Amino acid sequence: MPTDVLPTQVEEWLTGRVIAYGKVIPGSFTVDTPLSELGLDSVYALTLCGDIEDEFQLEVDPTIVWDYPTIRELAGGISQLAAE
Amino acid sequence: MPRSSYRYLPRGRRESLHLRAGRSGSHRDWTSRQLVEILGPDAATAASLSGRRRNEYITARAWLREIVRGRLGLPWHGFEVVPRGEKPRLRRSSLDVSIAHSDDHLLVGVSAHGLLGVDLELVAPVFDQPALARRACSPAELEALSRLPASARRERLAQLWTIKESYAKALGTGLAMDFTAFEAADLQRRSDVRRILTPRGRDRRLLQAVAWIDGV
Repeated sequence: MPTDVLPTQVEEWLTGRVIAYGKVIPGSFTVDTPLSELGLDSVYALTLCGDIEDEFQLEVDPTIVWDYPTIRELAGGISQLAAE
Repeated sequence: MPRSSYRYLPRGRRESLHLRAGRSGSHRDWTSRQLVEILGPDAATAASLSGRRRNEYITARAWLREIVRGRLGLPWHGFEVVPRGEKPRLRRSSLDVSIAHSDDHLLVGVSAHGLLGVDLELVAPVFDQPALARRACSPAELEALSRLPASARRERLAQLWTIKESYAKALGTGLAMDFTAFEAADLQRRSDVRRILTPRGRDRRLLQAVAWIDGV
């Protein structure tokens, strides 16, 4: 399990995942764009949650994307959870 | 009126199921008076939204109002304010409503008897993701999916998801429901399920599902 994971690394990884889902194109958003504004609804929330679980061995609820509505905030939350 | 194609899908018993599908169309300016008329106490939520998301939010609710007032001839008092993720709820009404959108495609429904959930999804690369398949499919569905040619898997997973999501939305459980614990094909046989509809529109990339179930 990655114990020291930097928020910026998580931001990069999350950005890559969001682009892989095919809904948004690179360069059309920043780490501060609310995910809901990108049209990332429940199917994307569940997929992202699954990818976070697989990548960081964390158990997270899909509502994590509401608690941390941007990539920057989500990355911060993941880093914190991974460090616990 | 937003410019959009629309139609009512097959109606159920006692004409108690009313649906409308279409596109939200170009952005329009809503006066604050219109917002209060359409949304009621929920007008504050629209104020926190912007751009396309705001247009879809309001248009979907304006369509529900047209069904309730125009088609059912019932009074309209807007929406209750509900926490994010909860099913939209009409104020001072026993009607059940459901809303789905993907980009500017909208699907809304009203049920006079029983609970209603609608979902629509554009078939997109997200449905290729193993992380989603593992969380959206039962073991048997996952096995069947793996036997499909790669080119057919995306649409199949989107179909399974759309049906299960419509059922979860009818119950109001949303993302709290474990989609691996049941199969989309079994839903129609459940005693609480009145009907599962999967209407296809002209756009083949768009999948729609409607779950109509008994009220609790």
